[in-house]
Order: sequence, then C-alpha cells, then structure tokens
Amino acid sequence: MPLELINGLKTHWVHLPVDPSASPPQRVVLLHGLLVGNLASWYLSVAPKLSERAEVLMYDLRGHGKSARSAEGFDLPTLASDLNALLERVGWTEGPLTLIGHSYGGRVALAWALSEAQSEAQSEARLERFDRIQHLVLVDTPLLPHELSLTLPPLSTVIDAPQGEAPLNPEALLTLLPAPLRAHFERGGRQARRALERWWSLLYASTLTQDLKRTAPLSAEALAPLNTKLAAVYGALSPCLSSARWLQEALHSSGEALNLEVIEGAGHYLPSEAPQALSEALMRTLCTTEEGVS
Amino acid sequence: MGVMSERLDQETLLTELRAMILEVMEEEEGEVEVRFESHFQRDLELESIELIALGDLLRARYGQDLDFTGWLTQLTLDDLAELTVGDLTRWLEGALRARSEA
Repeated sequence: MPLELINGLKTHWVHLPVDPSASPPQRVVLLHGLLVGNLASWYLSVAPKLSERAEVLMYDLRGHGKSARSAEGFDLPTLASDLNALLERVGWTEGPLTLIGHSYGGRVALAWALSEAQSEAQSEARLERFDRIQHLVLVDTPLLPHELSLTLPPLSTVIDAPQGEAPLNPEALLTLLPAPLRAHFERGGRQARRALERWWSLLYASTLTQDLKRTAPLSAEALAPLNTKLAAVYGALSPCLSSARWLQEALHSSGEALNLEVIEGAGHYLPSEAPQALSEALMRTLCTTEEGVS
Repeated sequence: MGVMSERLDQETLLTELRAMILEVMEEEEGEVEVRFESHFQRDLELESIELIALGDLLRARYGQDLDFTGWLTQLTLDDLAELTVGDLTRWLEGALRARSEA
C-alpha cells in the first residue's frame, strides 16, 4: 500500500484515476476529520463518484488510519505542510485543485489554501487571478471556536478538562462516551479495542487537544482571497450549522454569495450519514465553473 | 511485484491473500486464523481502512489495473457485512482469468 515518508512521517494515501471520458479532467483532494475519520470515510462514500469527473487523492492525516501515530503536529500549519509535502510527492504542484474537507479536514484545506494565496501574493501575482484553487468545499467544518468540541463528545470532555486528568487506560475512555457509542464499544472485539487505543493515543499521548485549543479563530478578512472559490455542505441537524451561517455572512459582507447546500435529516458525519446526497452536492460543485455550469 | 502473467489456482491465491490480510491487520501468523470461509467483519473484524489497504496490496501484487475499488464500492453495506475471504478469492480469480483471456 502507498505508505511513504511524507514530511518525515509514514503516510497512507490512495489515488483514484479519473474516468478517461471526463472532460475536462479535474483534480480533487479529500481530507477527513479528526479522531473517527480516515480516508475510508471518503473511499467508501463519495470518492468513486467523484472519480467520474476528477482524479482523486485521499490520505490519512498523521495519527489516523494507516498513517503513523504522531505525538505532535496537529496544529494547522503542520497539517497544511503535510498536505503540501504529499502534493509534491504525487506531482500535483501546479494547476488548479479542488479541496474538499470534512470537519477539521476543512480547516486544514483552508490553512493550506490561504498559505498558497499568500505565497502568490508575495510573488506579485494578483490575488484576483489566484487560480491554484478551483473550489474549496467545506463539509460540515466547524469554523467557530466552540463548535469543534461539539462534533464528538470525548473532545468536549477532554478539551474542557484540566490538564493531566487522563483515564488510566483506553478502556477507561468508555466512560466518557455517550450511551449509544459506549454500548457499541462495550461489546468489545478487535475493532472496538483498536478504535479506543487510537483515540486514547490521540487524546492523551499527543499534543492534539492543546493544538486544537490554540487554533486561531477565523476572520472574514482572512478568507477574502478564497471568497469566490468557497462552497459548503452542512447537515441540517449538525452542531456546526452556525458555521455555515457565519460563512454566509462573512462572504455577504464582501459582496459574495456562498454556494451552500444544507442536507436535511443529516448531522455532522455527512460522508457516512448521507453519502448519496453529499456525492450529488459535490458533483454539482465540480460541474460549476466561474463561467457557469459545464 | 509486477503484473501477473501466470495463472494462479484458488489455493495459491488464498495463501497469498492470507499473508496480505495479516499484513494489513498487523497480526502475526497464528494470532488470527484466516480461512476461505472467514467473514471480514464478523470473524476477522477487519476495519474498513484495512480493507482499503488490502486493495493497495492487491494492486501492487496483481497489477494496478485490478479494479478493486470498482468491485468494493458496488457492494452494499449488507454485502460488506457478509463478505468472506472466499468471496474475495473467487472475485480475484475471476478478474485475473478475465484479464488473461482478454
């Protein structure tokens, strides 16, 4: 399996080729969310459909899926630099890209895109001609400071807890989970054991929660270089829906309209809760060009 | 390893698959019993990310044109829940035979 040193860390990634009949072929990078996410979230939901129109690149963020565990580097600049190193590895260093990020993966996509926009500005390219990003789609991405911890109950418990109050072992993490999730994991078995070990490692044996706490809030001004590139898909029942409203306001204040789709009946985990509706929404975005629908 | 040109019988494929499954599970021979009738979910408790990693190994061994993604993603959730090592072995055997006859 593609498991290579990227930015000094063994990283698992998968590339799906585009359907040869696609015209014009595009390139899409899919980024998953923290803790429960990995590239399987995309591979088993929307990726095959997207590959009808685009080459698709998916990878496991550090400490997730089959990528190596990491004790540090969950801050946005490091995660964006991991993405940049992967793009260099696969040779996607030029030409337009569409980035699609679920949950915190959307924040990583934003961090990388804003850093690219800044590089172009410094190289005297005009921002309005910034064409490295074709679309940047936020899929239920928490943008407001209080929202991230609402996406997964253990996160709020850990983020809000005083330092040093760690459960003694992965099994003790069960007590922090809400009843339905706890019942699932209490059945035991290999999958439950591995999930709990991975979560425990991320929550208590890495800088993840400290890095999350240090994530700087976004401002409408900071997003300006991406205003015309942004699209968003949120779940109508998601605790992150207020981010979508905030983003609408932010773009509205710059005279832009956000391409926002809200999926009825779905919560935060859109790739698993509503794969069909999410696929259709993402395909609509991929078919949209600055001149209209292609 | 490159594209296979030789015909592989089911027993050989099963032996090779068994080694790959243990590799993605990061388990040693003897710790987990991988049989033709083993269910990926119920018996082996393979995680979905491990099934995808198995696809990477299959393509590396039998050729990048092996449409593992196409096969896996047309399965329903119920199909996935019932998927056995034997199902994968038979699919692989068929895919390799179709390619050699093409």
